[in-house]
Amino acid sequence: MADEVKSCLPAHGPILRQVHRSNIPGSVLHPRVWGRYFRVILHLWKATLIQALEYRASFALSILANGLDFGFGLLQYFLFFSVADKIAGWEMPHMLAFYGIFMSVFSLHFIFLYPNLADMSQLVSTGQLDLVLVKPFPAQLILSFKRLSFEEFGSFAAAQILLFSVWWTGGLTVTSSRLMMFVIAMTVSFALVYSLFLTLLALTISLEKMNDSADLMWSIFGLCRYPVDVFPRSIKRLFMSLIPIAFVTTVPARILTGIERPETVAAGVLLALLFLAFSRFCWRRALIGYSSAGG
Amino acid sequence: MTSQQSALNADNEPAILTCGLRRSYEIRHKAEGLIASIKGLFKPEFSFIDAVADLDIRIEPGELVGFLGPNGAGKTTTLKMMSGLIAPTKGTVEVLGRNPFRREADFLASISLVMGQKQNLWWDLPPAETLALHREIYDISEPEYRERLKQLVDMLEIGDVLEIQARKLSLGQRMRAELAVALLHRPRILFLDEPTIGLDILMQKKVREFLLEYHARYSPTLLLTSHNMDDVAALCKRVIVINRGYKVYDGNLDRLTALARLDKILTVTFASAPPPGFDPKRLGTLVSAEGGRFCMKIPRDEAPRVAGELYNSGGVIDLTIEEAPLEDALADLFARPAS
Repeated sequence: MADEVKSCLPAHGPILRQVHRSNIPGSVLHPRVWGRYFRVILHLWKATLIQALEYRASFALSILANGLDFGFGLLQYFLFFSVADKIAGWEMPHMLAFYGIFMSVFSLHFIFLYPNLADMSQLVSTGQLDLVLVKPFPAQLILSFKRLSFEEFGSFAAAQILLFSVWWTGGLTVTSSRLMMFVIAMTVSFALVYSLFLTLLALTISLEKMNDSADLMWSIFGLCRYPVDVFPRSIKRLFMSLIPIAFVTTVPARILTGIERPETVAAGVLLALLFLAFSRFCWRRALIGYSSAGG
Repeated sequence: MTSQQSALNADNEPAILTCGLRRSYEIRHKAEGLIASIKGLFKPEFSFIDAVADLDIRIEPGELVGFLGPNGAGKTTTLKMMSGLIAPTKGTVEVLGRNPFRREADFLASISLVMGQKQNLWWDLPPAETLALHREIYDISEPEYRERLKQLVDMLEIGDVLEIQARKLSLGQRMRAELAVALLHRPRILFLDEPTIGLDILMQKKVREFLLEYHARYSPTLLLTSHNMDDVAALCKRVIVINRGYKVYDGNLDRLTALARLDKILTVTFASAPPPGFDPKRLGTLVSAEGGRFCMKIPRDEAPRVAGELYNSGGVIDLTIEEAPLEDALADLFARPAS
């Protein structure tokens, strides 16, 4: 055919001057980069809030439903302790602290991660993900935190009030070393939850037809609702290692009650790092294999 | 023109270069029926298809190129490889001297992908919010943002829609707002995938005029896929045609129409009944007949003779000769064996 390009130039190195050198700094360690990341995420959250205000009735109903869920969860523990002094070695104040921690982690997951995981399959199937991936911004950051679920803020606040009241009534003795271990354990807890979230996000991209990843996350939280001490020893071991849900709620609660050793916290840090590395690996593989819908 | 653009235009390096580019997809076969579905769980059958095959393209900086082909030809797949969304199975692609699939931030800040069927705009929010977000994503300073936004708003005539929720905008308003979002960072390469799809004729024209004006001002390299031949004819001198993943033509648009021996569309209207002996099928291929109005497709070389013959037959009140749609020329090209 006429005018066809017959020759191909050999592959050459980057022609930096051809690329529009915007002000976007390259290194992720640059403080300005983090500032920009934060501003973008804040902007996305602001947009979510405006959207939530568009659907005020639905917003109000969700807050009510979550408040009831929190209340019924609490009522359940009161019912248990009306017929027993201890459950698997846990006394009532400790169990209430456990519930406060569970609700803190669960509500934070629901606020920051859940809506983004629920959206993911649609983004993949409609090809809208394409428009995220062509932006000069970390896709992982946008896809992890682009939407907030404001409805669960009430549950988070209620969980903090519960924890405070257990401490205020003398149910917990908090020392500085215990507090430090607790902060580390909570970081481990969030890291494990995030690594699971990221793995599911990656699987949604890789498998393309995966609509229920958010439900799977929900089911796993169902297991975290009770201390792992209520399970048989073999299952407890599993939950302390391969499926480390013990580190999500039980370990932080045990630290607050003073029955956890620092070695367990250290093991948790190691596990969290391993799980984060694994989830990041899954994420990168998913983006490499992404085939994009249509076209 | 900025110094960056000057440096870019002074170079002989291509803006886009592909060499032996290929993208294959694994297709899972599913036979009909429950038993076949269960069987497929244990022994799935796959085959591979090439969406794009051995594609060699060289596009110079600032060029405006139409990328044509029927549905499933591989146009969008090629754009996706060029913008770094998907990796080639084989061959190389370089855009602005970079491997797009590495998705480096400064590379992504230099390109823009507009897809007529996908949107950047938030459905429940006004375009102003999406634009402000993109200012942060592309790290554009406030004064620069204001200046660029003003220019785009003026050029696209969207000043009155910036504060209205995207879902309340017409398709044409939304597409123009999408273009503003896509061009806010002044990309050096603009990939346009069906930008006028679904728009009415007036809005299509507005979008085309805007793209021409934008190109005249900032000379980005522009690669356009469209089924709307008016888009291609208005915007692109050079076209690349692909079919079933293979390139079948790369060159001048006028030459393409000449190569395809494009027919003419002759429309004749008689005052009353057609004269005795008038047989449209003898003159060419009858496209439509309505009362005294006949529309025929006739060979290009025959057009003057047939027009003269019709005038001489008497009773003609109107006669027009137009180019046949370019789709017909492409259909002819697609029917030819792949090169």
